[in-house]
Amino acid sequence: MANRKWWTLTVLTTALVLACTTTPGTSPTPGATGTAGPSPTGAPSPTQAPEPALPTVPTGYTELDAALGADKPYNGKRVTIQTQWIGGEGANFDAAVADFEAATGIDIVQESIASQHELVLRTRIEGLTPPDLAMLAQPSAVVEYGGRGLTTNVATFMDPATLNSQFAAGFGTSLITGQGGEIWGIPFKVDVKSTIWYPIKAFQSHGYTVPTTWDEMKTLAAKIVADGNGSPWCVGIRDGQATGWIATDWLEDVMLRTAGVDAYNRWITNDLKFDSPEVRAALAVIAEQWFTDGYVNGGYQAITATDRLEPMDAMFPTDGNWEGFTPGCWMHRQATWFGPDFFPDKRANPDPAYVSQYVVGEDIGIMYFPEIDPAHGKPALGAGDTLMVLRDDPAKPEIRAVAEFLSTPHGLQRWIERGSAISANQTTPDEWYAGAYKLAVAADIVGNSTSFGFDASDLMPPEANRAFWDGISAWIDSGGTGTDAFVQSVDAAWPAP
Amino acid sequence: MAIESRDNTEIDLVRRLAPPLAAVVGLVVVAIGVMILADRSAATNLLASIYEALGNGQGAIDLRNGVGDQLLAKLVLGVVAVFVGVAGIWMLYIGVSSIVGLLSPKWQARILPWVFVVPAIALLTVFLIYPTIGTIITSFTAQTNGDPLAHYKALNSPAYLSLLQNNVIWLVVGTGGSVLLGLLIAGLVDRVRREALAKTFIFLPLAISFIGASVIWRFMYEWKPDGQPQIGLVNAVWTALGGEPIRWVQTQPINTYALILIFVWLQTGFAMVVLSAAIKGVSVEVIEAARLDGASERQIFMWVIVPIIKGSIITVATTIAIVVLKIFDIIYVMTGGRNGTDVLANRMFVEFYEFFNDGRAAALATVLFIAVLPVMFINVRNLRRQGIGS
Amino acid sequence: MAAWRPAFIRSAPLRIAVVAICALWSIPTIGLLVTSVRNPADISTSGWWEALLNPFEQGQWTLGNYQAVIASEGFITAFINSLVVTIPSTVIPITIAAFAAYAFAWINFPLRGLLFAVVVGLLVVPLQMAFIPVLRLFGQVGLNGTFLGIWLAHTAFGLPLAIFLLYNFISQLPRDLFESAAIDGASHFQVFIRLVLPLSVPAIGAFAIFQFLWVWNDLLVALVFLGTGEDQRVLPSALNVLIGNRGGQWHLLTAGAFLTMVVPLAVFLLLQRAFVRGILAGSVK
Repeated sequence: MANRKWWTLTVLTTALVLACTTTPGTSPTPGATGTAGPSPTGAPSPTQAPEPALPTVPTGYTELDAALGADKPYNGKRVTIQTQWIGGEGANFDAAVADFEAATGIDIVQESIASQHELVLRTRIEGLTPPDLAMLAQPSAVVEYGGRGLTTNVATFMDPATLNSQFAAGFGTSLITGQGGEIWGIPFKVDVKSTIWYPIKAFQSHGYTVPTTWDEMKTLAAKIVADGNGSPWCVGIRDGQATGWIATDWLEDVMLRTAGVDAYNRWITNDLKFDSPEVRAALAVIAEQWFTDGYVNGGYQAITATDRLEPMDAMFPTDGNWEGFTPGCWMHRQATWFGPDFFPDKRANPDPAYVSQYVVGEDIGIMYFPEIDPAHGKPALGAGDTLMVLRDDPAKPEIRAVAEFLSTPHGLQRWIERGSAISANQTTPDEWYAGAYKLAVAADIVGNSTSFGFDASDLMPPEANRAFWDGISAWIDSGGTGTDAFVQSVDAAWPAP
Repeated sequence: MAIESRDNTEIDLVRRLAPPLAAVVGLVVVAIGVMILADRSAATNLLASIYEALGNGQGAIDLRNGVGDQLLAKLVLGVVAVFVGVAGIWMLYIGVSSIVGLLSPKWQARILPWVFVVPAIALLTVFLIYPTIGTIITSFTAQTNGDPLAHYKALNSPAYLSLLQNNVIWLVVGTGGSVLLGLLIAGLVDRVRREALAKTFIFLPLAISFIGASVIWRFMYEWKPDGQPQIGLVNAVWTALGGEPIRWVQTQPINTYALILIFVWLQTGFAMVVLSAAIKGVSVEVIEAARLDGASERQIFMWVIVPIIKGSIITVATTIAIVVLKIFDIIYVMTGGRNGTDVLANRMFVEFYEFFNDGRAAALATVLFIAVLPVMFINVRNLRRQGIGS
Repeated sequence: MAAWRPAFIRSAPLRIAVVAICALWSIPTIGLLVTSVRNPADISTSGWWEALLNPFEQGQWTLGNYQAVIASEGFITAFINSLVVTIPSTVIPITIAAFAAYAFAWINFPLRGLLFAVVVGLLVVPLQMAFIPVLRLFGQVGLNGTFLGIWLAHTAFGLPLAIFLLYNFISQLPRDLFESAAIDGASHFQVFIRLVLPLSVPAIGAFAIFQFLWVWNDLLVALVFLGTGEDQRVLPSALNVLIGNRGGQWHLLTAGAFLTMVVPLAVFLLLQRAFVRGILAGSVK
């Protein structure tokens, strides 16, 4: 819906490239981790001073300054925020706001509702009993709420000029705005999606190399199958009512690479129909990898049957020993929100303090989803979570204080230090990302990319989004034979403007 | 004399005042109850106040901070609700009736029925009648761009028509399946010694929620890739018979029938119970006469008993049909309407909650309502014919 | 009408057929129950029927699944919430419906026929018709997400059935009962309290069971009016969330599902007769 503007390449490229203390060349290669051990554990990396994750006063925001004052005027107040972050992600958010809670006495209560987050949110908003704040991944929904006056225009208490300078438009980092200059949503966390997780040590021991072009990828996949070493791809997209979104990510990544970012942006607004040669060509690329016998672990039928957290389990040795172990599947295309919190040993262990024995950067690596058509370069796909202020009560200025805090880089600091998040705020200090393998890779991808696309399905109107999710799931279930039905159903579901 | 009469009048006075007093007390109880209960944190506030009154300050603070005896607070709230809801309402009724009893008989006869009926009518109006009319109006006015019939016209598209088709399939197969199976089982079980026990097994699923049944059947339909051990019973049997495991819930069009099977499993018990009682109500003489004529048991069942219990069959069929037309939970939990299993009720939910399409959702609800009306008419007419409810 | 009893047919095929049908009907539920006490590792590698065939194998039975579900998925809170939602929703409609049913049955007043027809008609109105406007109404008075809101909603939604059942019963009470009471000078109110209510206990019991089961098992009304916040979830909602979050983890799902089913199954088994009587009261003379 909103037009995507281009990101200021120079600023960010320089900043993020500088952030990596070792620059692994133009594409992330496995094992290039001579730096301080990248360990996304709860402890901050050694270069971090143990200061509280708080912005320095004065911040320029009235309520935030007041909250951080010594007299703690908001002590004992409760602010509720609804998110879709459960498990490890939820814990990371709690850690991110812990220092703020300690300093101000405000109790930030996170209501994590994973499987029906949007539905519950809508019910609560519609029923006029919303949470104070909420995080949403779909900008189109934020615009919808804003247009109906159901969410607060933060420009009424936060300086638009400041916000605009910190959130320049582009790669998931732009403010969600309305027609009249209202600001409905402030981006919080950004995910890079053009990433593939793979087992570094298994690649080495079997003599496989990370592909940098799609042709190399196809060769690698064929080789894995020919060697009898399991299936090249781990794919699982089941996510309750939202099943399908991971498959849409695949299509979006491929579209950027085969059709180019211009066509991609026209696709988002339905100017480029789903029933078009470009989309069909992109689907064919995916079909080749998914529906060829032996390419996907469990066969293509397993794709919609496997829960989104589980497909990579086959990549791990059951006893932690990579020696002589052949993974059941070799590559898992998933965004940067994924990580050790979701590895099988961590999921099976109920102890919240347990950290996965597998280290990202040593055992498991991240590669860039290779370019397909050199004419369209190396695009990067991204998405993000946006903060909405749903309740603006003059009697509860603490809500504003929390919103203002979350808009600063410090709102995400601890999460970044755990190596698990990328801030949408462009004034985020680069040294925070130092030493975290995943973030280094993400920064690298972004830094080296030639174009950017925001997650298309999140920008499409809700009916189209849903038809897209459902349609691609049905397409998978049909083994790729139902292409016509799929593309036509999405076009048909697009609402009239 | 004067003293006695004064005593009498005093007692009389008290007796006369008591019921209206009850009305006032009842009103106060209900009002206070509602005020306490209407608070979002009613449970915690209530118990916290009690604790404070009892001197347990710490307990009160804990409660207000979200820890402490939260569960106890809720139970206390429930008890208060039951008290207010029953005792309070009773006192209101008693009181108001007695006030009316003070009026002249003519006015009593006029007003008392309304006292009895108004609370129910009021609740029904607020929660059912007014919203129904409101929804119908919304379907003509919300997001229609000036054309009142916009949403209804939009229903004439392949996507929505396939939806309606699903509802029809559910109606025919779901109702037919439940009724036929219920009839069959009622007939069989009738002749067995441990009849009551057998019936219990069939009937038991009726106590299971739709979502519980969905978990049960999801497990039954579970799919594992070919070659791996099947943990879902249906696929286990299927592969044992030589087939490849099938994704029962994802594969069109068989998935709709897989879902309908769940419904039939749940509802057959209801049909069985009603039809069993109806069968038992058939007069002995007629059966004996047919036997004497040389009819076999099966012929008796099909050509004598069934026509006689036709009224009950229609009752059961229409009751189940109404439930089927409104079906939501099973589809919502099993597939969310995906893979071609969508039905009206689920789609209405999705249109409202996911697509922000109030008008379209209202139109779907209205269509649902219209679809149900004829079935209801048949049901009521059938009941009247049987002499019930007249 | 004398009921006809066929000679108990001792034919083996018939008995086998009946046993088979009973088994078929119970198998899904048994599958759930057996799986809920199995080891998580076993569940994904073998069918539950195999566990039944080797019941004495070591280490395959466990109550850990129930522990896990109760400890970490908020099922206890959900259980209490279900209790707190269901019991008032069952009890409150009874009074209101009983008064109304009596008036419809035995008092002549204008518009009586029309109002009763409307009430019966409301039996079939789908809830979906009601919940958007009621949601907005609740929003304006601040009742969304409160227990009071959902009690009121369930009371109102249960009234048509309650009135219908009680009406059927009360209208079939013998006329002489009322005539002699009228002769004794009793007011409608006294007749209601002293005669009708005590005699209506079976019908009230039947409705109470229906309503209890329906409210306890309800997902949609709770979803819309109470919400699915951790604090307010009822058991079906908790199970729904569990399905969403732990899709493939059958050891948790089956245990959770069984927990939601325990109370209704118990109520049903103990009060079967009344339940059946209630069903029949509305359908067969």
